[in-house]
Amino acid sequence: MLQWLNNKYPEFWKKYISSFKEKSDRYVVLSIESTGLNTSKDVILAISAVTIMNNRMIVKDALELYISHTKSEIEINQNEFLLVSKVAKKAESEAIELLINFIGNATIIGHRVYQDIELLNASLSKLGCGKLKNEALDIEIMFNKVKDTIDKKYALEEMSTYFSVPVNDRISVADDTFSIAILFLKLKTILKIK
Amino acid sequence: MQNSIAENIATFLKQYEPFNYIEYADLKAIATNCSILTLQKSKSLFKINDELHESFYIVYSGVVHLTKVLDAEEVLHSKCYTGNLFGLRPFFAKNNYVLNAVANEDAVLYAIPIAIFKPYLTKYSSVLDYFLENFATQAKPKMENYQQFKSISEIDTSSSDTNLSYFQDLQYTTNPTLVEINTSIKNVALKMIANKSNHAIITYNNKIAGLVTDADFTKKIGAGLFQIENDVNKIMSTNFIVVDKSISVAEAQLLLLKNDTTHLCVTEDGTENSTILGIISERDVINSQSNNPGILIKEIKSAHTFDEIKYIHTKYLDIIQNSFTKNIPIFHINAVASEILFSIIHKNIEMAIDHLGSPPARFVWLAIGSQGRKEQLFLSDQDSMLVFEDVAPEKHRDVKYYFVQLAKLVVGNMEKLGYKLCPYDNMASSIKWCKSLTDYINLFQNWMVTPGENSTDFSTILFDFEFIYGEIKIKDALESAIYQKSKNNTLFYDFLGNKVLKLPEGLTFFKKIAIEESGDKKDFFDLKQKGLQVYIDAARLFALSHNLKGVNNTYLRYKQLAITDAKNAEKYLDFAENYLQLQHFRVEESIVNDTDGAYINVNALNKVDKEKLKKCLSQTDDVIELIKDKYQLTQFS
Repeated sequence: MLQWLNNKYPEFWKKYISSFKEKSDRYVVLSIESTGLNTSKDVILAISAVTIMNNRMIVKDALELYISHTKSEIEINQNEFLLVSKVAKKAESEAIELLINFIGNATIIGHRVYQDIELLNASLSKLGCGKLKNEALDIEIMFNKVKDTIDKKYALEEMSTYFSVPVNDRISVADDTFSIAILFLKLKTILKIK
Repeated sequence: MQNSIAENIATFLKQYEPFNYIEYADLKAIATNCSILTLQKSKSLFKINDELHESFYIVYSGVVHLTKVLDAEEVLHSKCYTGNLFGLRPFFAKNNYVLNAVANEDAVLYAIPIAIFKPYLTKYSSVLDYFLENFATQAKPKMENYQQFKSISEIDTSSSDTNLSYFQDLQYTTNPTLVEINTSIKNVALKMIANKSNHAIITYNNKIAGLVTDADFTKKIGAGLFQIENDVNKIMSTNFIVVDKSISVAEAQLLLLKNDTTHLCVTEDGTENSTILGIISERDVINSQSNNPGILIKEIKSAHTFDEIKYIHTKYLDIIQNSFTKNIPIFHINAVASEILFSIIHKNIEMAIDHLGSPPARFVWLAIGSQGRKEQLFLSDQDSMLVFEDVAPEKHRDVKYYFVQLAKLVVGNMEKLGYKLCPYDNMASSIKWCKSLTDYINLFQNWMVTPGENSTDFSTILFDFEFIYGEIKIKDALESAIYQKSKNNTLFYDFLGNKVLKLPEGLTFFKKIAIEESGDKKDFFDLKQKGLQVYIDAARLFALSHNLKGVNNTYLRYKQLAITDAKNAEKYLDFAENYLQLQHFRVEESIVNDTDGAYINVNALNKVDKEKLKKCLSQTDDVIELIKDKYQLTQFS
């Protein structure tokens, strides 16, 4: 019965599911830019991800995707200020497939990562896939632990200043990914996460 | 595919040597292949004798200290700041690391794989040159930052200013001028000129047969004993000294003196029958001590550009750092360091005068504050004043204008060296502290006769001035005017005494160290205000009331007071020791953490140090008691 269900899934998703047979020591830092947080209305605009292995950020192993949306899909974003971007964009389905292949069975790291995952799950269900199965760590929660606070909101800048990491003027999602990755590396050593 | 992270890294690298020589496209390829890691404070990246890593490192943020072990103690070798490279050893050696790399502040590092970077060394010759220049042990580093030079080359230049240096290996000339025994004297001379050397080793079957130096030419050719067509063996000296390649500086020096010679030949095993390796001249011995303070002062005097001064200044900071880590008494460091600093300021003033043309009147440049007390061992703020002689009233405006311009140049240059501007503007570049002698005398008299009134600009540091440049007579005149007014001026002592009393206390009611309770320095101890200041201010008050002229240093003031005011001698000596101890804490803090040392982290101190600190702080009560005893503190309290 289950086998039959599985067959309905796209190829890449099957591969993704099967990758969980093994455990992974790989972390993927994820940062998503979207039109908002409402999973039914809002869509993903850009995705950036980078790998962390053996306590090092591997720059080569990174992903950066910009997603184009057709007009019907996205109406909130149409206004006179919108400029035509020169960045090469991909269709959402293609981008999600690339991302899923990239993440594999790694642990996902993000800032308020649950929002990112919800958005991704919404996109995945459009493609007829299931929900993400990865473990995920949220640096805001980790930071709360370090500061001994409960459920306090911390912006990325705030955390970066706390660890005296230079904050670059955020231009793209990739900058966020970079900051998150460095913060994660720091938090990881402080909280002694293997 | 696009990789913004790699692009950001490439942009970052582009700002720093040697990456600025590399084209952006290549830098991007390098950046793509690098990895990024964080290093928590006081965690080490590699240790001495660790196997070489596959990459070298660049500091993106934070500070990494390279240390080595000397006499079973960890000694700071150099500091790496943002943009500095380290861990380059795998490029030029196969053996293991010789330094420890420890983060002194939480650091973020880029690791660039050596295998990736190597091809670019051949592609860009300037990058290769940069590395070679820094690896070459004897080349004088051209770059501004001495620390960077040290961290790349891993050369130990530090030990030269202590006795230890005498036992370090000597760097000798490895390409001596070699000539065959049957060459004519003329040809030998030509070859020496071509090689710009003052010696030639005469060989026979590749073994040393003799040595010719400039002296031989003057003595034997110049005096006409031989013709220049003769073979060189006629004039060569055969009683040369041959030494082993691992000779120490001390040995070399002894041999040179003992044998009354200027050169030593170096061979593989120290006998004349083995391969010639090089030659040691007197120059090499002197060079090996180039970090000696005396030589530094000489270098300052012969410097022509500001860049040279800047370079010497980094060396100067290095000397302080090294003398401090080697436990040389802080009092001696104070003395040596202030002499060097004074000559740096002196040179700066000279250069400013060169720039502006000769001054329209005689003047004197005085250092005030910690600089004037000869206690500035770190990059704290600069305080200075300028006094010029009285000029005709109609000229006064132009003269003052000139001196303010002059001071602005000097102060600006000092700021470039890292001395912060004084937050209260106590600098000669401010119109307040660039005045004629009479104006100053009036100002000081005002303060001293009617203390407490008109004292908006009053600052006690103005009473600690030290001559740096110009007409010393002007300083003497000012000084004697001050001491004339201070004699038995109880009102003024009262005023100063109350100032000391108002300083915050170092210990709480429960005899705990009074750390800051709020602000961004929370949990740190304000060493400057709560510790040092009492001792400094009290010393000044005592010195003024006892008419101690010309002693500005707090330590020396107490020492001197112990002689003039014999019945409190013991107390004074205690204060002197306490003061040095507190200063020790401050310098340690400033050297390790690159701050001005005003605040220290009490929790980082070990138990012994904590007790020492407490003792010093508790004795401030004695200082205050003594002030209360000696002066009537009634008018202002």
